[in-house]
Amino acid sequence: MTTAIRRVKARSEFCMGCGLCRLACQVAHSAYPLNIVKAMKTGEKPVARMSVETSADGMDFRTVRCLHCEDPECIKTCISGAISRDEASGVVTINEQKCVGCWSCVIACPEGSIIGPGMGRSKAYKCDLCLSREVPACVAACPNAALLLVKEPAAGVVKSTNGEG
Amino acid sequence: MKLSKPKFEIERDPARCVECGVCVNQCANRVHDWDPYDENILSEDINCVGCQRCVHLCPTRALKVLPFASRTREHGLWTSNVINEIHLQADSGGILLAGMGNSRRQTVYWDQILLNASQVTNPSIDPLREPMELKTFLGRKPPLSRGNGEFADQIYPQLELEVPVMFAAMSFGSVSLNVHKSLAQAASNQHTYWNTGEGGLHSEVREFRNRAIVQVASGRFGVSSEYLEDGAAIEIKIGQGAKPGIGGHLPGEKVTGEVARTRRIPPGSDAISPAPHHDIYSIEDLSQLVYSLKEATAYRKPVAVKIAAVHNVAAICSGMARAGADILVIDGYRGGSGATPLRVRNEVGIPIEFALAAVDSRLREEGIRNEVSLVASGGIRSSADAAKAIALGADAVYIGTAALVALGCHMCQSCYTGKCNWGIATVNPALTKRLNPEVGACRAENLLQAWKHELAEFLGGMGMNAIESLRGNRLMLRGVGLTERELKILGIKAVGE
Amino acid sequence: MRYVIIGGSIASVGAIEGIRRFDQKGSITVISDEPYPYYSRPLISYYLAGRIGKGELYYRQPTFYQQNQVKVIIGRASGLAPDQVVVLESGEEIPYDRLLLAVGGTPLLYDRLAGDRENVVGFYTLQDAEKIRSLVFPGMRVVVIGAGLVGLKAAEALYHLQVMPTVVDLAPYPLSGLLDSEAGVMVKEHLRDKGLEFRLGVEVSSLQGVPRVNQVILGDDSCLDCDLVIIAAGVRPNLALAEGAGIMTGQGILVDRRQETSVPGVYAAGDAAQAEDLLNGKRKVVPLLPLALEQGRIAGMNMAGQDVAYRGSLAINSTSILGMAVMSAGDSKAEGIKAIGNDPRFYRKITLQDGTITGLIAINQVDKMGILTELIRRRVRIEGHESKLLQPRLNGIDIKEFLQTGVNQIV
Repeated sequence: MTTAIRRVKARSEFCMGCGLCRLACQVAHSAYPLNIVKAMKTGEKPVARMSVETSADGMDFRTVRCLHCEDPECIKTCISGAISRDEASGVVTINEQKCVGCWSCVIACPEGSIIGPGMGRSKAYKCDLCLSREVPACVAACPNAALLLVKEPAAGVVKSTNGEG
Repeated sequence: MKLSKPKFEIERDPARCVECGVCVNQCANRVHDWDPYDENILSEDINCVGCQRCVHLCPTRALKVLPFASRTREHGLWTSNVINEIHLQADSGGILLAGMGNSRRQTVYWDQILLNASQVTNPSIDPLREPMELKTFLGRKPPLSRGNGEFADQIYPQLELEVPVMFAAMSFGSVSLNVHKSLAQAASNQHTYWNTGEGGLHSEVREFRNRAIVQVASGRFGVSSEYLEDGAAIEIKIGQGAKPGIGGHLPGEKVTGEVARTRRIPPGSDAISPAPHHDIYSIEDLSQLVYSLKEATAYRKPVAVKIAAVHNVAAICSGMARAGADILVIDGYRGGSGATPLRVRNEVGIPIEFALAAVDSRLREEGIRNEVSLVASGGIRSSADAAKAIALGADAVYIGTAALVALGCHMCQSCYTGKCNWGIATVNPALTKRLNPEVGACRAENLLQAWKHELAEFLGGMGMNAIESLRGNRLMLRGVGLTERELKILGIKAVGE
Repeated sequence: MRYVIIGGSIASVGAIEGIRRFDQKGSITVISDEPYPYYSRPLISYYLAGRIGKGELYYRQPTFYQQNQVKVIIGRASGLAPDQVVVLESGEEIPYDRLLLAVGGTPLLYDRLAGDRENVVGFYTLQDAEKIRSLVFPGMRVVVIGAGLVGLKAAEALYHLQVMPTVVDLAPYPLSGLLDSEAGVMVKEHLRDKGLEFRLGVEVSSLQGVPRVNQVILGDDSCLDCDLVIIAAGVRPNLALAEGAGIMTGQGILVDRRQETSVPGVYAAGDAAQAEDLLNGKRKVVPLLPLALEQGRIAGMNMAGQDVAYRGSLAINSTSILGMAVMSAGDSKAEGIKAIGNDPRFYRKITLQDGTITGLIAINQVDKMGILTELIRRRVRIEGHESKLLQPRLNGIDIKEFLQTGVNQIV
């Protein structure tokens, strides 16, 4: 079993649906990660790798994020082998060079967390847990401590029912 | 045609706005809206209450909320505000409502009072090097010794505070459960007390009951034997500074499931607290209630009585003390509320500074000051106000508004709408989750910690190492810009004297 | 322990990974008849179109065989001899302790129609794609036989090479194996708008022209002039080896839940295997890349002494054809409840059985469709909430009580 060293844990009872996490993710993955205005107004809009949902009655909110499963469905369905999982950290990432935009990962992900077509995109995007940052951008941006950085394998991560030991 | 005008206008810097939509989804008053056709954000100024939520959360600081620039012609009497208020009443035919405390531009008497410091004689003490005793006991104390050298034979129940600042009564229903959780946790951690207000004690804050002062108000909401037993002390609420003489009204829309259950009333029903307790029509009746509560809890808990500061406050407090109240709570005219008629809030009641001084002096004159504790509240803004209150005679202070501001309140004074964008003065679940009690508790605790340090600095500066030495010590105060009369009532000298 | 794998594609890769997880010492030998190792077949259309280069075709890193200590023999197995030996066409004999048949499939119709003509090409191997690349020129007249996924991807690639092909299929609409008629027609109209031509509801009678094909004769006696014919009409499992060795076969090589065939020690996985369907428990050939990987892994782990069961095949398809995202999962063709939108244009259908979702079709507005796939996998009873699943933008929070999720996400 691999041991993970970072995950993002969400407590959606404190999520107020502000979307600052999503914006921070967008900016962190742009050409200007330190300057929101430049990031959002220069060239193509950067892609957020997570989304925020509001319930139909407007009372509940939550983030939709990759949970970096131990046995990811997305890796199994990717037709180009573009998705891989780092043994040490458990982080699952898409190699953008290899992605051909078939969206198989989008239909495979049980969380619905992979960013599919829209705004004319031709590649899939997903959360990479901001490994180059001390704290993932979404966690740092959350004004209500609804997102936390934890250093443990996720409890109850979605496993495949393949019976793998 | 309605004549009411915007109070605020929104200025958005298009160079900075990245259309992230945070302002749109965070404004419960629907001020900002995404226009899909022009693909930009429109702002409807008339709905803005000036809570600054959007300004604060905007990630690029693209927003400013400014007072509505358009003003009526200058006039010393008929100001824009006055004209607006008449227009509103002509539009609606109703009582103007307000939230929070008295907003009038009246002298703030705390600012006219200055503290002392030691120089040369009675040298200062460095609070970083010497311990500072801020501990305070609230409760009935034995009468003066009759001079026979015997120890007092009866010790009454006391509240023990590590800092002479407590969180004031704010009912669940006027504020969210997360506010209670935040304040209760902070009070617990700092070994002081919080007050449930008249909305009952919710089961999810029951774990903090040993730090809770439970309130018995005229509506008797939430009162049961378990409730009385749970509290560390019981406070009979006769009145509050924000609305002296009138009762309270929590509209049915705010009496949701949780609120209804905690108040023990049917959901959706208006929660009306009548102006008087309908079983208290005289001081003797008050005494009866005080002793009923003491009997019900086997005399194990202090019973406090809270009144609004009004003209005869000294006489009333004397009566309360003799009626058996262990702690007298006086709420000055700056005290806050979730909903109160604007006129009553701004025109009824007196400043706490005078009320406190008057009560302390009167009880001393009658030789009973030592038998009861005095708690002052109503617009205590800082540790300085608290220190001055203690010097004027208070044993401790309650903070309400300051506590909510610590949690994020920006004093838009629109609490009565139930759309508090900071998740404080509302029970709407979509909004209440905006105040994470972990974060709130941290902020409230920080406030108490900060004031503790500042109080220690004040004391040390005056050459004292115990709050007891400041209590009622009016010699440590001087008045500036006050009339002879005011100085006399406050019982302090003028600066230079 | 000597592991031998016949086949070097996806199931083979899965098996290698499955074996090596539990056995780093045993020898692994791969026998492959393709000169290119472990490339992804679905990618050949992207390669043909010029959207990716040769380097991006490979499913694993170039060092995969080396890192996993795999010996590769380029050759073809001609038969399985008794005493656990694989015999190659070259005569070489490869003994094994555990054998995996990851032999894939053979394109249908090719043998009947191709007739050894240079400009009649299949669309199954990388070599097929390279052949087409060498032949194609802008404005060429090309007929693609088969309007299934492979045929449409071939047509898409040709579009990018400035060729407007004519796509022929017996079915009345494209992707008939996956979609219902409404969805299929939507796909057809989208591609027609882009300039592709279709001849549907008609079979191919014969290809005319020697030594190069120049005409396709259709079942209605009409003909299509052409310079190139691409046959993309599906594959059938390669059963020769299995049948020759007395291994039980049906439509494919029959395997149990451990991916083992009727002969102990011999396993099968991938396009050639007939394994249990997740939803109905019957054994079926489902030639899809993700299933090949999974089956290969399970086979590999069991070959290495483990005892794990395959969870069953759930057919999942997803692609984008000239800007239209098309997805299907499970029992997608059956009747169900639908949502159709025009602005933006989208189609979604959910097939229901006993209150659970058994199938899905999604065209455009495909974000978060994986949530529905998971509901299918777990056979969640969703009755009463179907309308929430048909929203153009799926809102997982509105069905949170049906979601089982991790990381303490309180949903």
